[in-house]
Amino acid sequence: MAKGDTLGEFELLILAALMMLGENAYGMTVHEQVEKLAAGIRSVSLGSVYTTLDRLETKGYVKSWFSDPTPERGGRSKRFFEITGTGELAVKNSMKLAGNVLKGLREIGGLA
Amino acid sequence: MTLKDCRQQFLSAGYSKSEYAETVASFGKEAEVWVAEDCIIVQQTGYARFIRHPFKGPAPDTIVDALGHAPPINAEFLFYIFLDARNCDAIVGDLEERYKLIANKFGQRKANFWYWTQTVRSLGPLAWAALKGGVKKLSGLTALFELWRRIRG
Repeated sequence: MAKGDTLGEFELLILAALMMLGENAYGMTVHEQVEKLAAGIRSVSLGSVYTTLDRLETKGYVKSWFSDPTPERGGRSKRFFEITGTGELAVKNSMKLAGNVLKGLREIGGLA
Repeated sequence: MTLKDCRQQFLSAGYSKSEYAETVASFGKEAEVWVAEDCIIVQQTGYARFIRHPFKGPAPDTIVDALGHAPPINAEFLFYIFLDARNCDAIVGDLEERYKLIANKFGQRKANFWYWTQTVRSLGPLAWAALKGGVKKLSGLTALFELWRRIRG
């Protein structure tokens, strides 16, 4: 794992939400899923979800595309998101790192 | 929806061909114009907006659903400061989608509060991202200027 491949807390939350949502991942569903995952820990705004998704797309962890505008949304289009293979690998690496930290802390009784 | 479908919808709503041509001409050749109940929608490169109906009187400023629930203000202009048209379209569409759900379930007052809260809280991260992007572009330009200066020097 190269330096800089680990994810921030919020990035990890968003990538996990994308993995859970599959094909139905667009702005609002991602926001709802992240809110569920972060319930009681932190609050989440739609704007921060979009800016983080943009950042993840720049890193190559996410790809996005726009749907056709629909009358149900007043003629507005949805922006759909999908996690890439690199993104899944980054999630696995972050989880492995978190697992190691947890194991280390348990060994010294830090989380007792 | 294709341009042909738009034209068909416009004509089947009872408008004449000349009225359609006049409306399209006023928004440019690339515009797609389609008819909603109380207004017409002009769509340009993926961005749709509601406009005053030229033949049927004023259009609503905001989108109203079947129960009459509409967002408190059109927050589009705030998002346009920091986002491009397509992303703005997507984020405002998301907000309005959830707004209608909350309004139907908990009432318009709660939905208005949620809409305002989300709009205000969303602007911070978007502004910060836009600022960082601007600084990066500026530093790129500075680097190019420095390179040009050294080559000349």
